[in-house]
Amino acid sequence: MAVTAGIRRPSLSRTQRRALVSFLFVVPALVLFLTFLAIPLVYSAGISLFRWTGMSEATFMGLDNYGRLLTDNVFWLSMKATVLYALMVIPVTTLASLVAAIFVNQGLRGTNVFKSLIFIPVITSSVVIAVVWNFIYQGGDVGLLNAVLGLVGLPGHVWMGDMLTALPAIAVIGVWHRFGWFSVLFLAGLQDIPIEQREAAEIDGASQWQVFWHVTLPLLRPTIALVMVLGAIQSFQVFDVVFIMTEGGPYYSTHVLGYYIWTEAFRGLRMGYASAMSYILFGSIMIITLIQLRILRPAT
Amino acid sequence: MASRQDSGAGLRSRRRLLQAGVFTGIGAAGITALAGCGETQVVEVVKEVPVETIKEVEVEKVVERVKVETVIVEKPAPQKVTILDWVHPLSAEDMKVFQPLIDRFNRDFNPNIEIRIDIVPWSNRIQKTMGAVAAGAPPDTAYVNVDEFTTYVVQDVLEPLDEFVKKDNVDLDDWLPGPRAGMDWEGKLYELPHLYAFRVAYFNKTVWEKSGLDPAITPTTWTEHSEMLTQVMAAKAAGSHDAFGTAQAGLGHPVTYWNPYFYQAGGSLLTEDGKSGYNSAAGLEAADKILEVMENFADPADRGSNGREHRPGFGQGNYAYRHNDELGLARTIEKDYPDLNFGVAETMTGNVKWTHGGLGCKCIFAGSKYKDATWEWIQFMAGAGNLEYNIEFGYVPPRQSNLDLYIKHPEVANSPVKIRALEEAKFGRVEKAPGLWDMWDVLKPAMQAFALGEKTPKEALDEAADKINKDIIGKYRGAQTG
Repeated sequence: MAVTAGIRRPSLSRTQRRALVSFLFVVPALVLFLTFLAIPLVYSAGISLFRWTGMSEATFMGLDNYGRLLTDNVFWLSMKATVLYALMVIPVTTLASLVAAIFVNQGLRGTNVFKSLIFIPVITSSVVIAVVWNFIYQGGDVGLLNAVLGLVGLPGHVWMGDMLTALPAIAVIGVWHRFGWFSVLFLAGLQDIPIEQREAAEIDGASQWQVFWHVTLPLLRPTIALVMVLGAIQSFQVFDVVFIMTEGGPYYSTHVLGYYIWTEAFRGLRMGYASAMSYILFGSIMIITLIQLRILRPAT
Repeated sequence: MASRQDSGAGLRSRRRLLQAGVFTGIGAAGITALAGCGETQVVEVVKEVPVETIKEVEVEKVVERVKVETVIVEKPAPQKVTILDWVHPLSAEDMKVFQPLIDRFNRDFNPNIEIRIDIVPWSNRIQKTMGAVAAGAPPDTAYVNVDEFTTYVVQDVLEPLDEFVKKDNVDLDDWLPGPRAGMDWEGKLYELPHLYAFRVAYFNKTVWEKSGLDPAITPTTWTEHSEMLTQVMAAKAAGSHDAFGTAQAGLGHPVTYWNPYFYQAGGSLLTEDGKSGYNSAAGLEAADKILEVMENFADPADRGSNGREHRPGFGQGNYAYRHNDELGLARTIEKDYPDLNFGVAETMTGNVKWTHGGLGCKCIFAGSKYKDATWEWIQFMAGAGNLEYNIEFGYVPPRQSNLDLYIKHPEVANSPVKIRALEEAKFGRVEKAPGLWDMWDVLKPAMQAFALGEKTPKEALDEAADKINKDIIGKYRGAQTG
């Protein structure tokens, strides 16, 4: 009895200790998540209900900032530019990266070099990319693109000074920047497909195209969904290239929502209005993501 | 000269502080002494010597006693304070310029003020300031441009400097007219300009000659400007040279590509009734001039340009005339394109003779804990240390006393272009209004709209002015949304 009394019973059970240790492992990530994501997210929701310059006293405005969006012409021009950009970038990036992944998956000679080449834009700073593409798109004889067109006898163009070509030009950069990363995702998806399934189809007499269309593509559906969701999120958040290359011009043709939020917040000092726009952007991305996931969910 | 003046002012300031302490001590101790000495002493004095003489002697004694007490009580060990100064990069190695200035300040003026310089990128200075002010931890001072300080002032972010200026008898008339106009808002002084970035027009003398123009004559009016650039373009078409008349970036910033024409046309940022002046008659005149320049004298490729390549482009001889650029361009060209034969053109007059008068200024943030120390530092930056600062960074001192020394400095004295440019400094005018940056962001798409033919100049500028009137003017004191 006396012996039993001398043994200190652990205050926590094994399960509890495991939970505690697990929690401690999560703490650093949790702190970062709360500090840089969750708290700002909630805080900005609050700010969206106020008029606040960031330095002065905040004044409660209710839903006025959201109401004002309806009549703000620049907001709708920005939304239009953002949607058009996404519509250009997402399908082209998805298709281009799928084709690149299929090519790499063939295991032909030189694919490692190709893999490295297509991945370089992914690891390159977007500021550097914007500066380099500025040279490419420069008007007159100086721009690289015009020089190449000149070599094949085609006339040059002022790419960034034309409302019709400025946004597609920015979209090309978006595709070029991301398709290496998406190719890697597709490559992982392709390598995850059991070889037996394709072989079975081939034994049954299916052509290469039929194998791809009826076996490979359906099995790639989760990867396609992932790529399209990531593509949509990144497209709706485009900012840096626009900021460096066009600042939204010419005449709002590249004035994407991310850029408008930034100018309203940090140049116009309308933090409340910018926060309200951020929530609209957030909602748009969420709706599009849900739609994509719904359409592309794997067949059961 | 200015250095000695400022040094004197600083010393006077400290001497006054000591004197104030001494006199306060005298007052307090005198009252105590008179009250505490008791009547016996006074009675004794009256009995033995004439009253006037005795009073004098007694006062002297009191002063002696108080002086001793003051030394003991009022002079604590000097406490070192650190003040934080946010600057923005002006060169590749800014601290090479700042460190000797800080050392000199500590050696010659105040060893107890430690200066911490933080170099903040230009692009996010507003965000950083906003965050720091909102967090209650602003810097003590910062490089604040004339185009942003009013936005801070109306939000009570900056400390008025009037008392400091009065206390140290700072001669405000020593500042050139443009910089002087950029120091105050709503009757109070908030900035000490320490850098003058007025702009001038440059022209390529070689292209001028090849176009049959006399390099001794540059346009003084818009009509002459059009005539001379027409001649430049005709010579280009004839194969005499390959340069365009001038540059006009379609995606460029209003300060460079709108302001010269707008202000020369007699425009004002705000009209007398406080509305946007962009859609005034001067605004429309400026828009017509811009269209004329874009269509007739500029490279068509400029329509897609933000203007960043125009400075090196001028150095490479791509333009005959470079409107509205800082003196830094002369320095860059002398260094990078030493063979270019260029000069400074006369500032043009539309209805008004105007050139942009950019300023770099020092202010004191209202949240600063060490305002007196900060004042000493910013006074040094605008005074004794100012010449060195401007020589090293390639700008111009905004004070006449320093400008006199600047002109004699070998860096300037040996450059005829800079000497010539300084003659135009007096035409520099500054624009200031809360939300100015915001106004430029509205104006810029309007300029693009009429340049692209999407809207007429009137439609585009009316739209811009409406937005400015509705969303920006009065926002900081009024009840606008956002």
